[in-house]
Amino acid sequence: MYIIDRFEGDWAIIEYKKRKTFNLPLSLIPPEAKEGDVIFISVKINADYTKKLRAKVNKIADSIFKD
Amino acid sequence: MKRIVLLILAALLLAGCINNTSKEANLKNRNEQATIAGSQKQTDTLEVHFLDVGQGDSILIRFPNGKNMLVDAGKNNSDSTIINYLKNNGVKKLDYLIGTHPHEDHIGSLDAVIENFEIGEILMPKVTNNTQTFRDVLSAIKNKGLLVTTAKAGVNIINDDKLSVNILAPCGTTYESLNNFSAVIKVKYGDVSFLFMGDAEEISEKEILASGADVNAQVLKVGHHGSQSSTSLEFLKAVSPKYAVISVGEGNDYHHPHQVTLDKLQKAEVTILRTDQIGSIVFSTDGQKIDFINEP
Repeated sequence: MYIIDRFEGDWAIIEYKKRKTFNLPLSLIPPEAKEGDVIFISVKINADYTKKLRAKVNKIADSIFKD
Repeated sequence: MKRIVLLILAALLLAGCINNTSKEANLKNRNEQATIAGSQKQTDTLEVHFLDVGQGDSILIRFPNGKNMLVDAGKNNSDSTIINYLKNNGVKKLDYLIGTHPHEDHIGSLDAVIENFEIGEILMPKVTNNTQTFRDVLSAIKNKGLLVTTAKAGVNIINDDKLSVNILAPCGTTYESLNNFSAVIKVKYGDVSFLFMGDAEEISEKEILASGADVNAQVLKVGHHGSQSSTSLEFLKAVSPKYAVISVGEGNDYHHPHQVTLDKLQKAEVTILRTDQIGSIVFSTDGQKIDFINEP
């Protein structure tokens, strides 16, 4: 369970199991969210962009490695 | 061989004695002696300890009549820091325990404090949070069979000849941010006053001023770790402190204290004392003059 403990500037401070806390950028939080709200967090992998980015990085890497 | 061992032992003992001459150790010893002589020994000094709990608040107030007050209990991981600090200073009972507002950086180790010390009166604003941190505080209070006094403007905690402790905020009952539910506490001993702001923001500061409460204080515990949300110019002028204490963690993610707050304090020629730079900050007063025990 993820619960919003508080907001600090550009961050929302989220509490999860065993009272650990972490910061989430406020831009990921719905604007109507309030302190004490229980939230769902789901993460999706952007496969398309991962592929494009990997190709781009590898191209640069290839150009600077000796072997 | 025996002689060498004895020499080493003597050297170790000497090193221990040298360490004990530090001001903090003297304070610790003095308090331990006071405890041995009787836990509620009358003195003529009031002490205020701003504990270094990183990016959070925890303040120990030792009254001249031997009673103790703790305002906030740091973060979830501050439990051993706070418990050890209190025990090392000979504190056995917290006659007054205040949770200024239910954010993790203020009530994080409140449950551990309740479980480890004898508790007199507990005061908190009448507002809740849904976190496990807050639920554990409620459980600790319930398990000990204690009841909470609502912290709100107008509540008087102590009213002796020379000593008074009053709550100046929250003035209202609904706020968007829990910060504005912060119990704001004024401690006055003789001619010396301390004002503890919790995380109260400008909204609460305005309400306090409108209430006509006397906010003037020599020592201001700056609201909300020096965030720009607090310490409005109007409020700072009314308090007109000599010292501003900022309870803050080094390199925190929120850039506390904010430069705009530091600029206001500097312009008003207030001496700024920060727990991230000094560590724990201790004041002592006889009701006329204020001393640092650990002068920065």
